[in-house]
Amino acid sequence: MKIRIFLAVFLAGVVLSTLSARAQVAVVAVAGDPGHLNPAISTAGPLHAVADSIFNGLVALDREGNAQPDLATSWTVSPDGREVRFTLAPGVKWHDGKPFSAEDVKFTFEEVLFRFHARTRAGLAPAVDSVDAPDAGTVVFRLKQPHPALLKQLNVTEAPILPRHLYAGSDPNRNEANARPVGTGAFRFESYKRDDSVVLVRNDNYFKPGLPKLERLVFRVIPEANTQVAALANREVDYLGRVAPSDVARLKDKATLVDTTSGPGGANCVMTLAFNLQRPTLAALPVRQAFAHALNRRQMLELVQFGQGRVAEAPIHSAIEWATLPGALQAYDLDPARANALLDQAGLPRGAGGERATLDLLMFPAFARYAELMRQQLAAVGIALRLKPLDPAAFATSVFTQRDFDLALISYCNGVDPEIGVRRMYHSTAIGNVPFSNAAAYRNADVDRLFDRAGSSTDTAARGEAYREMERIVARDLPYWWLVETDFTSAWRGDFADFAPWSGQFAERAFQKR
Amino acid sequence: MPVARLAWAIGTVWLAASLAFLLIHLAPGGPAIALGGDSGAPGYLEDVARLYGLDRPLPEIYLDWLARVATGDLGHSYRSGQSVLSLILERLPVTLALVAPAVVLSAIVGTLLGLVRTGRGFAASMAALHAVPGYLVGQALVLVFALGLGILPVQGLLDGRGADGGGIARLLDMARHLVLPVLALTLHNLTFVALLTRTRVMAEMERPYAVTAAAKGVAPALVRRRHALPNAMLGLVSLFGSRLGGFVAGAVTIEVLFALPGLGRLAVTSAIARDHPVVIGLVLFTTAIVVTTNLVVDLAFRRLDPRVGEAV
Amino acid sequence: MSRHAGTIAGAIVGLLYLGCLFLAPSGALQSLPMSGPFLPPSLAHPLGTDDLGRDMLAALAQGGRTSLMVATVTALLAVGLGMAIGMAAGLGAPWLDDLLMRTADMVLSLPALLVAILMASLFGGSSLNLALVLGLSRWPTIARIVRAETLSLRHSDFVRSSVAVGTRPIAIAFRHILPHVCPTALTATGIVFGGAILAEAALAFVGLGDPSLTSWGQLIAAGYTFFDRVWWMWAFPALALCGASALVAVAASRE
Repeated sequence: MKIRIFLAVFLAGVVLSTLSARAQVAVVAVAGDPGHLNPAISTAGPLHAVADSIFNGLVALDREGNAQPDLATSWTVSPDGREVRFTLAPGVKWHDGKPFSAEDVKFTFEEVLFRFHARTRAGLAPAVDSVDAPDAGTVVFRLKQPHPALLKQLNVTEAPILPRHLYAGSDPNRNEANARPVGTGAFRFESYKRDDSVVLVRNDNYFKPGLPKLERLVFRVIPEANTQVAALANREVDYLGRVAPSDVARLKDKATLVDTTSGPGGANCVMTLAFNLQRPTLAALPVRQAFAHALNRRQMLELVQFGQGRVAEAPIHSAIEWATLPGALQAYDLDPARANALLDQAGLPRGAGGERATLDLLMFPAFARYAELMRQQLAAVGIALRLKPLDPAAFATSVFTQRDFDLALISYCNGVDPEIGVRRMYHSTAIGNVPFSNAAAYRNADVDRLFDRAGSSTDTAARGEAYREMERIVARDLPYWWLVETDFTSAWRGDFADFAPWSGQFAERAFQKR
Repeated sequence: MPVARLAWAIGTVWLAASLAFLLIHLAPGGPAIALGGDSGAPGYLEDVARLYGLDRPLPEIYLDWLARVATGDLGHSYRSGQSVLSLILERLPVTLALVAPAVVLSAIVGTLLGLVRTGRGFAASMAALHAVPGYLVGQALVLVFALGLGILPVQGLLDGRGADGGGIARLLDMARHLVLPVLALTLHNLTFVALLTRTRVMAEMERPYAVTAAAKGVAPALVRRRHALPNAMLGLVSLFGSRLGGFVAGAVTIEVLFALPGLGRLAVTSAIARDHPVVIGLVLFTTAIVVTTNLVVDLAFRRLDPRVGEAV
Repeated sequence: MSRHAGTIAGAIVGLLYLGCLFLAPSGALQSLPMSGPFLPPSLAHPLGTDDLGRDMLAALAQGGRTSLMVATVTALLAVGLGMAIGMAAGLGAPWLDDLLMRTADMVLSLPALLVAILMASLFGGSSLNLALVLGLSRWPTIARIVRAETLSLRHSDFVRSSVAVGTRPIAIAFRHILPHVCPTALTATGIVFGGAILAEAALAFVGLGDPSLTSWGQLIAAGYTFFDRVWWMWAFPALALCGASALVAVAASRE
């Protein structure tokens, strides 16, 4: 009996689901629960993948990284480069109906972004003297020195604008709006079920005419990469923001695939091994040099990235052509024999089982394959790794709050300008309790000076020269070892079009072909 | 006697609470970090210690802890700030929707199998099948029914595109999504029930009444069904109560595999996030559920069959 | 018959374990022989290679060492505690019997896997911790069986005559009861052993295993990524996992 009922229910379900009417709905898979939906106080990828569609920045960045209008329709830079004036789009309303104004922008930068957004706090706040709102439709950035990277730091991922009327006078970390966000963006928040789904619906009053085209945007939390791909193949999911490199080949004929170097988690990311310089073993330069000679980065690119990217040739990502220094890491060729010699010289002899030292390697669970391969490669030079996979919050606590680690595997996204994501890795003021800042606790007065010089010049050639000088120094000091530049692949089902995976607002223009 | 049973049930929850207390105090960094996490903000850990009264003598903290557990105050998740109990109650329906059909199915099919087939080969094959974990079964089912035939979904509880329709359409959609996970959870437990039924029925068949019936020429199958089964059932059902914990354990991997937002998945994501209060809450909550179920089953049977009270 | 079951189960475990020790590379460095990735089974690599080019046979042996070690520690703990407590309950005063058996019920009601997850949350994934949790939670099954056996032996003639000549209870337990309950206890241990292998694999599958050790569960989880393409990455660990626990369970089920 029960079985018969069960079967009937099951068959009815099959029929019903095939009959259901087609609305313009896109289902998006995300790997992790966003936790909350305030993109201004966090740089976490899963959060931005969802929340960026609810908000806007002053500008949007196109696929090439050029600034396009978003909340600001136009902007002018003063002749001395120290004042940038933005004209805001007229008639913009928050999702709760309140009018948006320049005061919201001023408030968000001064009270939230400059205090809680890791990259914007480290990369933009030091350059800004004040953000002013002379009238409701105008925002003026007054800068301490010219700051040419400014426009690239104002998109929704780096600087989403929050409603002042909901956040003023409260602790942004504990505001109730973090769970029921109110933005100006293309999609309105509808519901959030932890570890399950976030549902957004079309903002019918969106200030960009004709947009968005989708009626609903449903985010499903699916932790297993394999399940994500199976769900796409089975038409349960329409869009994958990140396809694991190992899965790209199997989606080739099932979906539209687009390779990018940027996304809601940041742009131009380099898989990086951070050495905790406060640990005596790793404070010794020969030990860090031995790592550089022992790790086979080409193998990492091929086996873990499936060729999706490049071996890092410089501390700065190769896509930032005017600042990168190709060949900076040439001295460290793959040479396990030399690595062994360096470790002997550093006073780490091999023990009875052949091991010289056992070190803790902290990483996100998603990077486990890098860690496994690294353990395999380092075994050849007698270094044993204890792997510690931790979720992003626990990782940030261990590495940046408690500093309880030897090695940390971090995907550092450089951004489209080194001011966005490179400075925070090396500048001595970025050491401390801010997630994904200077993990190595590296301190070098010359490097600090070079960053300050590069950040305040408007001359790209001069800036490039300062960054390259900085790269020469850090390539010698090795506070990090730069492994692989990772490219991202996004995928969507063939009957959708116009997704923009390089942007946080990836679904603003997307639609389903009829 | 029922009073004594109740006392032991409460004792079990006390044991779980004490175990959790012990583990929290053994945890690296001490109880404050275990209960409140480490935000790195100056004075934060002192605040947590004050909030939980950790600056008092240990026996006092312990009694306070037991009092909290007794009143259902399981603390707050420090990942979401939500109260642990509300977090658990929010997820409970999903796990129930997964576990309840699996319990019913494996009870019915397993009992029938164990009753019909009593050979040694059958026992061995059931024992072997029992060794196949549910998530492997789940993977195989996904491969065949979702990716191969394309008739069932591979993940989730509801179709992301639908969800507008309320009532019956929603229930049907949910049922469709639960077919594979329920089957995966069932197969593993069904073998256990089949083995247990077989053992029980065989034991009953050696009892004098069954021997007598057989001697009088009643067909063995009929003896099994008419006489042995009802008697074996009594013991079976009470054993099933103690098996509930096993179902919840099985649900952990199934919920992860099928991306279902139930208690098992909550335990895993919380453990990976080091959100200890939630995991502690889940241990205590599950213990309470298992104990309560056992108690209810026990008391119900005591009314149905007075002999139960005398047996062990 | 059950005497044989115990022996067979023991022999299976012993052989498996020896095989793993023999085939797996040793030492803290955990290094496995490597060549190209995704090589199908061949003479050079009888079980193929994984995505990182590691020899699957060596990985399987290394994983087996972890899985079997967890199961062995669990089984030893459970059987030691279970026999001691079971005999004490069977031979002791009624109040002791009642206390011990009620305690056994209580322990059985604790959700062992969730406690193991709590341990992983508080202390990080560790196979030793897992074995401790499992061992300390699985003894009641054995204790119950041993107690029942002890109770029936207690009233047998040879035990009565021992009591009559004034032998101390401890001596009776060791001299007369222990040899008789051993086979039955071993059978139950087989089930505990198989269960421990499965529990370890379940934790590894959801990402809460010992991240620094290869185990069968971890290999299955890793192979799951290549589920529909590289069958040898998950099929062999899955076979090893189910095979080992099934063999032990089947041997144990042959009463």
